[in-house]
Amino acid sequence: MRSNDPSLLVLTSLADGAKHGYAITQDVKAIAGVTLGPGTLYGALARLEERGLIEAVVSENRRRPYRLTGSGAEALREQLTAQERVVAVGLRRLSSARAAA
Amino acid sequence: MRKLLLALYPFAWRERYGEEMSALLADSPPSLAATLDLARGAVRAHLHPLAGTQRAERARSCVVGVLGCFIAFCFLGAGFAKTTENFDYAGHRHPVLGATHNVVWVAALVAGGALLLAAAPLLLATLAEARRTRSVALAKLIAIPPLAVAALIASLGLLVIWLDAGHRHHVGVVGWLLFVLCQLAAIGSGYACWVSPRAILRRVEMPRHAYELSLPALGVVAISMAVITLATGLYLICVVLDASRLGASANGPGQLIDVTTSIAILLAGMVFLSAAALVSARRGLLAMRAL
Repeated sequence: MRSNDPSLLVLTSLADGAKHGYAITQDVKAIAGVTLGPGTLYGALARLEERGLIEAVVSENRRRPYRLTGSGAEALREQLTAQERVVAVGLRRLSSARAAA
Repeated sequence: MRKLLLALYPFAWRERYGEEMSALLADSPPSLAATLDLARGAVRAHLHPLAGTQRAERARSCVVGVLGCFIAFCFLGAGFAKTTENFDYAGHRHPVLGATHNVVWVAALVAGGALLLAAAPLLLATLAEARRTRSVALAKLIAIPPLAVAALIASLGLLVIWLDAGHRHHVGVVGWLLFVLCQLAAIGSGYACWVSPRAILRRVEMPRHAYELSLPALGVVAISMAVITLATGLYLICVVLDASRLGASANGPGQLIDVTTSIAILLAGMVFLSAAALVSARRGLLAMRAL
């Protein structure tokens, strides 16, 4: 998953608790500066739900919240750790290059 | 507009996410980007159906999809027939022009026959269900398409009677009113013939053997539509290359465009509808294997 992949952004948004669609779009906009359109958001939610990474929370409201499942949290941790490694290597190399110059 | 776009999503998708998406749309300010995103999402939802979607639901979607494409295709076919109704002479003089015209008619007959074959098992299952449950609503839904087609035939009959009564050269106000009535009846009957089976398929759980007969027949319908499209394309090429004077003659409503443009417009619609029908039929046949 890329860092701006809608699925990764949704998983990240749900990492601190259940949220409904509108709350997810607002949160993603705040943390990544990305506006998720309704089609993209629900496409990502459907894919994640099919893969068992998130689940819908029972709600009387039309605004049904979603939360991470155990495997969703695990998948998010793996993705972020992998990206963290790339970020760390990239920053270190940039620093080395600057020092060499 | 955005609520209308929601209707473009597959039925199973709307059942699962429709309410939530409506709530999200109500919360979000309208924007062009969100509207386009919704339209893109609808296309993706059709290309990648929800994994949890029942196979039977996919088979139902196939029937509704191919039927809708075929009905819209019929309007284009009627346009082609009307455009080329006086081209017999050209057809006799130009073998390819004549042959492609004949192929269109033969494929149209095959498509019509295959559609009746596809409808028969579903209709029998619906009649059995209506009798078993004594459902008046179901009986009404069954009656709507034949009544709509009868209304269309009656309006066409009235127009023909009016024209045969010596009004061919001066149609008059009554003639124009009858013409408009025919157009409205055609649109209404096309819509009724699509909406009614769609509503029936949502209400009645069709037996597996009904789909086993119906879906391959719908595959033949989709292939026939593709054949008609190819033949129309060849016909257009012949008109452009070898019958340019015929192609340049005035055509269409108000004689505003020429024959070539008229057939090209019809062809563009045919390409889209036959491709959509083929995709829908393929998905239905794949779903049938797993039913």
